[in-house]
Amino acid sequence: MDALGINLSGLLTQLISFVILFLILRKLLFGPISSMLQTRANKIQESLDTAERVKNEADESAERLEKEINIARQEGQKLISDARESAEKYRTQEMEKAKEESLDIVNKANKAIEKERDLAIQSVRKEFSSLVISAASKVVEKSIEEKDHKDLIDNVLKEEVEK
Amino acid sequence: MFLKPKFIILFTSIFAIFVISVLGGALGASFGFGFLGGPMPFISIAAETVFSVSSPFSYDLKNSTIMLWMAMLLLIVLSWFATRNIKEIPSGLQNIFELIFQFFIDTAEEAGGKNAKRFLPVVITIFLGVLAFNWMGILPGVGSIGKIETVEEWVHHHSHSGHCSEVGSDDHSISKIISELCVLEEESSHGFVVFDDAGFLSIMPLGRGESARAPLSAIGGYEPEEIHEIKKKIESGSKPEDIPELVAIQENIHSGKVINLYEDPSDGKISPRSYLGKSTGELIPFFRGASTDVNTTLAIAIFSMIAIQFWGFSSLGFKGYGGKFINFSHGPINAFVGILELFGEFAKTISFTFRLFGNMFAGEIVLISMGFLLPLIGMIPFMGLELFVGVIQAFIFSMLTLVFGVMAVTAHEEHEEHD
Repeated sequence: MDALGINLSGLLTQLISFVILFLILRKLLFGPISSMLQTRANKIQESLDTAERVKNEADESAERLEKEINIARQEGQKLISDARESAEKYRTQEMEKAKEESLDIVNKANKAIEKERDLAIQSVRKEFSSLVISAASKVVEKSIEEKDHKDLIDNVLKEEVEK
Repeated sequence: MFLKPKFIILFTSIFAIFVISVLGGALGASFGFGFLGGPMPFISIAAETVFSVSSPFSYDLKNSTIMLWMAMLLLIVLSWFATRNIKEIPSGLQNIFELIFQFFIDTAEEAGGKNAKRFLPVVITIFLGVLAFNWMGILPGVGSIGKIETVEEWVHHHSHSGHCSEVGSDDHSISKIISELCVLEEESSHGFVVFDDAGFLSIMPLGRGESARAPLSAIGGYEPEEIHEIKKKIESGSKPEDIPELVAIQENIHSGKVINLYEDPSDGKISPRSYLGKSTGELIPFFRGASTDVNTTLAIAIFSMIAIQFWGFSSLGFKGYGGKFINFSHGPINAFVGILELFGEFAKTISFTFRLFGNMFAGEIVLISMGFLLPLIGMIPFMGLELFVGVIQAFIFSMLTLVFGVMAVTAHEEHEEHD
């Protein structure tokens, strides 16, 4: 023991000094540093959690927006197609109406023309029959009962016109 | 690139330094150079006493204790600076300490799970302490600056310890003389370094080589046979003051100068005449690396083992942990295993002590030897090696404490199941 230099006083001095070093370091170094490491770890964890939450929220709101945009787009599409449809409908309706009206007008005109023609024919026939009677009476020189002969002439004229 | 003047100058100066250091060192000394060498310092396994107190109690202050206190002071100051205004975003010293802490926290969790955190203060204190002790031992001036123990003090010291202190008679003053004579006779060839006196400072000049150790007989001016005669005279009853040879020797030893020329024990050369009249003594360094003293390493080992036993008892209970060592309930084999475990605890302490001490002490000797072989450059690579060994040893000491702690808090039954 002596040759190695182990002696009680030296050993006790070193041991007590080392224990004092341990106690001081535990108070001065270990406490603050490990609590600081703990605080920092907690803080980092917290920040990570917050970041995760914020990211999730952002994702959610983006999704919601996307959905809303889709809905709006669909609605717009629908509106446009509705409008187009109703315009189309309106157009065909109007067209139909116009066609009908024009047909009506044409019909009316035709009818009027017909009427006019009938009237003209009748008047012509009337004139013509009286002309024929007067001419025939002159030719025959015999008085003929105007009424009886008129029927006869009408029949003749009818046959003539229908020919 | 090799022909640039800058490179040539650099290369030449490196080569010149190398040649100078080879020639100037112990290698060159055998060819008659050795102008940079001094005598090898006396390497003592035990720490040297720098200062001793005799009253009210006797206490020897060792140079390793001084170094231990300086290392303590350094660690305390560093940790005070590191934690003085501790910040969430670390910088400087705080960073370094946090790095060490984080490393040990991670390692401890790997080795022993969440419970291993309780080991950390002890483990980190051991790491930082041992690291500081190891590294501060490499500083220049450690082991080379000190006071000189005069030859008289040396003789006095040696007549008090060792086997020479046991010879003697009933008369106290006679016994003291006989002890001193015993030292003079047996250590007559012990060499003392020859110094140049430069006023307040004593310097060991370069180039003296190994021949600069004057033997005790050349300082006392006696032959070992003479001492035998004087001893006989004293034993036959003559008073010490009446023997003129003894008085002369005592005076010579007191003055501590080289009286006679002497032969160098290594090569038989007669010492230079200029050494006559120069003062002699032995260097007692003020500082010695704290971990190159067995007391320090044993103290740290005891601290570590006490901590380990404390953890074991506190987590397994007195019965659970004590049952590892004293266990008669499971037959004689388990009882024997328990005794082996008990011895194992002591073996751990011893291996802790001598692993650190051996490594650091050997490193010190390597540095000294390299300093004498290649005076200017020899130390540089080995200082790097010592820095590495220092951190490795600190790491091993703290890691083993951690592992033994984890083993101590593991229940015995569970341990057996794994086997």
